[in-house]
Amino acid sequence: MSKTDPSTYDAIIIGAGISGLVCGGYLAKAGMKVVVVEQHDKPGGYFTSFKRKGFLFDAAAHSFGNYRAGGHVRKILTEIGVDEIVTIKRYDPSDVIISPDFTITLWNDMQQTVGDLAKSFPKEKDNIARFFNFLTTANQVEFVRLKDKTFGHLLRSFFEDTRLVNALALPVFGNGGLPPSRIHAFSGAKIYSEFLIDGGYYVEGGIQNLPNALARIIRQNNGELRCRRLVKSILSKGRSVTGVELENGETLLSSYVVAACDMTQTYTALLRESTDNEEKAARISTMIPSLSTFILYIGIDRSFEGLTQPGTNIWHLTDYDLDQTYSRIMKCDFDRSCAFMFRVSPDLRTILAFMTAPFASVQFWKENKKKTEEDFLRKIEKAIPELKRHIVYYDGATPATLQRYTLNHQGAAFGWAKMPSQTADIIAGKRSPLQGLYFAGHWTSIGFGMPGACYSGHDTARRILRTRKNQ
Amino acid sequence: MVAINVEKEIISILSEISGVDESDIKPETDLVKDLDIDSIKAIEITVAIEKKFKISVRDEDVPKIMTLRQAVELVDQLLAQKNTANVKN
Repeated sequence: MSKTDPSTYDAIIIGAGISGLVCGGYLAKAGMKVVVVEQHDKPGGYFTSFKRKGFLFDAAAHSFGNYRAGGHVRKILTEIGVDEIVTIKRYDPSDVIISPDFTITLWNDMQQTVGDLAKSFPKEKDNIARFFNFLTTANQVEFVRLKDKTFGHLLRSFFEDTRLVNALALPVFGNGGLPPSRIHAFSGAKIYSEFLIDGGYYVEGGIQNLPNALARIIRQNNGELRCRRLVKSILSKGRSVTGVELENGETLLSSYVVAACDMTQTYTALLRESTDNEEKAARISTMIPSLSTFILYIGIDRSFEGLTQPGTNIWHLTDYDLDQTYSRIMKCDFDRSCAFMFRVSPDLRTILAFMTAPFASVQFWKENKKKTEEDFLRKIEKAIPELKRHIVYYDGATPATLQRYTLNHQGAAFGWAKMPSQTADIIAGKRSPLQGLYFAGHWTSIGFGMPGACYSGHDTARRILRTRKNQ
Repeated sequence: MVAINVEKEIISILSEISGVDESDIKPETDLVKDLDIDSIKAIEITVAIEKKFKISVRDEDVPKIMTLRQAVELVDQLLAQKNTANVKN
């Protein structure tokens, strides 16, 4: 074959984030010849790790949920065979929420969580039990009733104590980028049931091992992962997709293409020449992406013994007013924003800390990265006394960094902002303009994080396999 | 005004969100059992129906949408109510 001959595949997947890899894993295992094209030098999207100065850091995602027996993530990773390659461990407690007046511990045993919380809030005892029961047993009808409600509405339908409402909303704020008054009730409820009640899972040896395992399975099943390859355009003939063209001039052909990547760029750049999608591109441009995060990576010397429990996410809430914190964050007033999280790594060598942050501009972060790192470090030092003397290394990742590495529009951490007012547009956004073109990932759903990405990748693979079978 | 074929439009929404072929969706099709509709897809379907027909599905109406036939009946009823309200106004 000459160098210019295009390669032909049964399916091309753009983006090696978790949704693209899960989709590729299912398709490859079903016998399709799959290629996953990734612009970064490693698979994973927000699920990557990197080494620096002898430390291993997880880049963004640092634990995941929904891996209980019967959970979607467990089912998907088992079906693809990931669980045979990696060891997944669960940390207990998964999360601790520290507020000015009390601490909430989210144990692996939900009844223990409910019991402890009831002791702290005796007047809310029955409400606490009802809330956790709702989160774990609600059916489709009960969730549809939340279609136009916020998580704040849901919390207030159970609780009277506003301190409790805001403390419970903190990890939803951190994992969703919106305060309870703005985030969709479904999204908030799912963050609870899939990240917190069933959270704290970690891949032994670093989060990168999970996407690596998915990539290995794709390769073992006759598929390919091509890193450092940027897709320039999605090709089509008439109303059907025919393949993709890479930035290096190479053409890959297939009648199935999955855009498991940033949706804004898919419409404004990749599909620019292949469809009459101006109306859709215009609508996308009015939608609001979720906020990004500012992440601090801290390397610690081996002698320090004052760390918090490894593997547990520690959430700090210094003021109960999350709406005010949100509005301060939107103005980049991080000094007075009152919510952040940190987690000591299982090997006790590093700390990952993050706070919600807006994209602002590349220039803003060039000018303010150092100061934001130092200010954030001071907040963490208040929570871990003596830490300062044991820091060997630290560096930050700004929203601009996250955009650069993942190409997510404005470094968005969770796809579109999951507000009730955007639900219809999020659904409409994934309606494909071309036969054979599918969308996957966090820009296509009101679902969240790794469980949402797994779900989306699996759902897209099922659609493709069903369509192929019917042809 | 062009009459909307309610059933056809709802089948199109159900097919798109569930991934099941339009030809496999019948009036008796049970959305949960036959189309494997989970909570996220149930919200997506309801919101897509609301947007398509410019109606609002009330909390008490949600349990009435278990089959395609029931969904069509509810949309017909809500459209009739909307038209009556428009005439009164």
